[in-house]
Amino acid sequence: MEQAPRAAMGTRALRGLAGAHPAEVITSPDGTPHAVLRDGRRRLVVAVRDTWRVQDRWWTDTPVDRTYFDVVLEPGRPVLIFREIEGGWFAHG
Amino acid sequence: MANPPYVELHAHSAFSFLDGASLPEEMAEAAASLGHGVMALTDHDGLSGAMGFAHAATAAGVRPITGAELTVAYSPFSRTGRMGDCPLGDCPPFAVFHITLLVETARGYANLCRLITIAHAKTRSGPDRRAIAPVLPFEALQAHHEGLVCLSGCARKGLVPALLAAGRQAEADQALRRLIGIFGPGNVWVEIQRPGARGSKALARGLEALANHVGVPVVATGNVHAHHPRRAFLQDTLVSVRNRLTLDASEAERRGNRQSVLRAPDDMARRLADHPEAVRGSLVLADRLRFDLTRDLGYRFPDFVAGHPGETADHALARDCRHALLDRYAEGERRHQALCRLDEELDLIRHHGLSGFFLLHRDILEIAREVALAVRPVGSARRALPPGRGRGSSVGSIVCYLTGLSHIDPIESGLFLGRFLNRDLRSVPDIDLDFPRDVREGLIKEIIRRYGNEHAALVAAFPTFRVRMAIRELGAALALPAADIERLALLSDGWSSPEALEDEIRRMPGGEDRLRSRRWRALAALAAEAAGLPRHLSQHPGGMVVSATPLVELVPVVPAAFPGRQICQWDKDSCADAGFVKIDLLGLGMLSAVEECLDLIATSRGRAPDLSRIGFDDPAVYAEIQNADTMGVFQIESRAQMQSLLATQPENLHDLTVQVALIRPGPVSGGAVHPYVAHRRARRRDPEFVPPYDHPLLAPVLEETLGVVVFQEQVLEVSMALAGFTPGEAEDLRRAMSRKRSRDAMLRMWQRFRDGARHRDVPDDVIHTVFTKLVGFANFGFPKAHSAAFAVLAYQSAWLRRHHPAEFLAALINSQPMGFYPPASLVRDAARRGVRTLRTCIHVSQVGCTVEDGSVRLGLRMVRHLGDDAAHRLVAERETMGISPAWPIWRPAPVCAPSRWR
Repeated sequence: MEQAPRAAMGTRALRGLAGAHPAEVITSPDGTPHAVLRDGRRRLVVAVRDTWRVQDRWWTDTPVDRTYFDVVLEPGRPVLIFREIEGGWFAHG
Repeated sequence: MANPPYVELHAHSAFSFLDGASLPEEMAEAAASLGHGVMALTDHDGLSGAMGFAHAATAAGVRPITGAELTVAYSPFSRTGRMGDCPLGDCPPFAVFHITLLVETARGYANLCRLITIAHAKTRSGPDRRAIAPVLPFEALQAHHEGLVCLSGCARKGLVPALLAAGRQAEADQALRRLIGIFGPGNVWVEIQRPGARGSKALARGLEALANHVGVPVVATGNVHAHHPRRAFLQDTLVSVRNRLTLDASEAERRGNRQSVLRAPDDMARRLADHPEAVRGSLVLADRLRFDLTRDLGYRFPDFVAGHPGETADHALARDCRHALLDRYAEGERRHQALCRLDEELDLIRHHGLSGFFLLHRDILEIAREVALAVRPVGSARRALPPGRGRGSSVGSIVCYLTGLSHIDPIESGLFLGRFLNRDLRSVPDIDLDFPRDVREGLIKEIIRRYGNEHAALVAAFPTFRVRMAIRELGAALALPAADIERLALLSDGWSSPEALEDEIRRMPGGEDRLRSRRWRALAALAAEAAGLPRHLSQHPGGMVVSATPLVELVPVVPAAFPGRQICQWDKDSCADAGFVKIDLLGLGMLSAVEECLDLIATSRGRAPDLSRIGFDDPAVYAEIQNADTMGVFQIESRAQMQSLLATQPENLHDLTVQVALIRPGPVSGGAVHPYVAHRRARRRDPEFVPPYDHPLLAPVLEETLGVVVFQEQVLEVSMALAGFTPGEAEDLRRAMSRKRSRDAMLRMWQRFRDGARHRDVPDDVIHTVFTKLVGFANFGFPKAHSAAFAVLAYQSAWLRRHHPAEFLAALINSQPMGFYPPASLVRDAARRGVRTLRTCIHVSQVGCTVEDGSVRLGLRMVRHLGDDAAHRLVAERETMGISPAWPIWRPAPVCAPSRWR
């Protein structure tokens, strides 16, 4: 018998900080990203497509607790950014 | 809070084994403190936590809803038949999904029980009867949907959500319509969840759109897996344990975050603010679900009347008892006393409608007699023995005595009815029946056969995460070195706090270093969180429930590992809450040993003593007991007992009754042992000695035990005497103490106790002292009547040991494993008392030990690695072939290889 399909989650981004780099993000009062500084230019977040929370590896010396934001920056560029619970923003790609 | 804006309708307790991380009671109390007014518990494929949850929630002021999340086998592609482009891997003909079912009516509850029973029906169908996961054929819903509301299931594995998430819009639509076809419009709701995973928001939007399109209401649910965020760590670990993976390797199976925990209604409404319709839906749906498991189970005592059609159970019982009474009591004062007592008891039994219950027990004893005749060899001395005997508080009842349930005359022994039957009895009285092991095995099977699969089942027991298991399983999930884990597991015993386990780890070589690692620290914390959580369903040692209405409509029933047995999903507490008639059939090693001993005596001496006529006053027997020369004697052979015997010097059956009850966890932790021993010494020096009481009000109830609480019912009597509790309230106190982790319930009892005692002008410090002792005693003592029955068996075994030491030793060894001591110690002890033990001999040894001219000949079974089977075959071969001195040498023994080596 097969297990239920489990595509609902997509892949979980849990590959440490590899491929992610610190980013400067300006947040709204509710903590969601408002704008991202890229190449010295401030780009407004025009849409938050998805947000999710990853809390994992708490039994290791490198626990993970992040909130991800799948955002679209003006003028239409998708970027995946996350905020570490300890503070600090990072961006993939 | 006037109107909480959200109701939690999807929550898992630890009875979703290795998934939920909190007890139902913890869920209920957390729900109350977070401000929930209503809450549902929906464990996976089971209702094991439902009764405990319903009672705990009601007590905490939360209205409970009953439900379950069922695993169903569903074939999304059968209609289209397009197997070629299946998105779900290898194109299974069907896949396994979850749906959440909530109970609306009593009919719905009965249906849910049937559905869960069906889902489990084939879980033991493999050749080795190893448990496989339960699953319900989708089609089975058709026959049992009435009174149930169906929710679409959790975001990951729910029937509709999973199909939608896999991009199968058409199949999700079709599945939803098929559910509506079964449950009817208005009874199917689409669940909107916020697990905080990637894609879950889009999935929720898609589900709401689908629901709107099909015309089905939406309901927000939390898919709760823990009562507190702290437990979410354990939840992660349990998932790893379930999948036999390490935490590191189980990322795909785990939830990925700690968001699926119980939250306040406001918090949930805020988190799901983008689905206001679904949040409102939880209130609308909850308002409809008014079935209350604490009230609406609809169970009635079975009215079993055997053989007399048309006669009521009340009549049948009264007639049988009167008849037996005239037989057993000669005319005179005793008969008069007995008649008064009988009328009093019958009156109470009628009042509670329990006549059928007693008749049922009598029937079972009748069945036991038949089973006993079948398993006991013709001509054996045991054939004349009663097949079992009663113990527990039932021994105090004359009705039990007259119906053969107990062998102790309560009039002669001055036993009180007390706890067994009283006016405001809250639950069915306990009747425990002890049987020799061989009878018990056959009896369980026969009862299920006689009353039928739908009417009889064993009571469940839920082994909890004990120290060693917790260390091994959690340690493996944490990927700690196996050798270290094993060492720690073997070291650890009897601690319960994380600090204690940390200390154990520190004591290991390199312990300090280990404690600097998060993994080791996590082990200590997780093991403490896991303590007390149920690990899986198992069977109670001997409790059975029998019901006239189909049992499978009252509680789900699942197959047991043992062929021919089945288990209901409730443990003894839930069965008691349901008011079930529970019959305890306990297998007692010493009963088997005593029976075997009588057989051996009959063989060696021609006839066996009649134990019912030996009297209880043999000074030689008491002399040995007072010398603590009791190795092998029932109940009084442990080191602690021996030490205490030297001090207490029992002189009669009453002293033995106290003695049996004294060295128990209850009296020990209630601080009763030392005062009792001291008072007993004082009383021996001065027969006029009056033991000190915590308060004069306690003198009448603690007089016979010299001022301390020794027996279970004294807890009740103390609360009645000091705080003016009614028998029903006292019973509530006992139950509050028996439920684990129910702090709030204990707090409420303490307040009632304090107020009641203050009302009687008892000083506060005394109230505190007495209550502390009662709590220390908790539920871990024997009722007096139970002790009395055990004392009889203790005396009988001591008597056999004194007068027939060789037969007694042989019988003890043959009944292993039992008691405190290994065979080698028993043999040494017997040698000290002049009993010779002869080695096993291939020519004369039987399978078990036998007696040869006053010495014990060890049986072939005792040969290490040989095993029972081989021993039996050797003896059979020897008997058919005759004995030859050269036999073992020239003829290959009929044994392939020692059974252990195979």
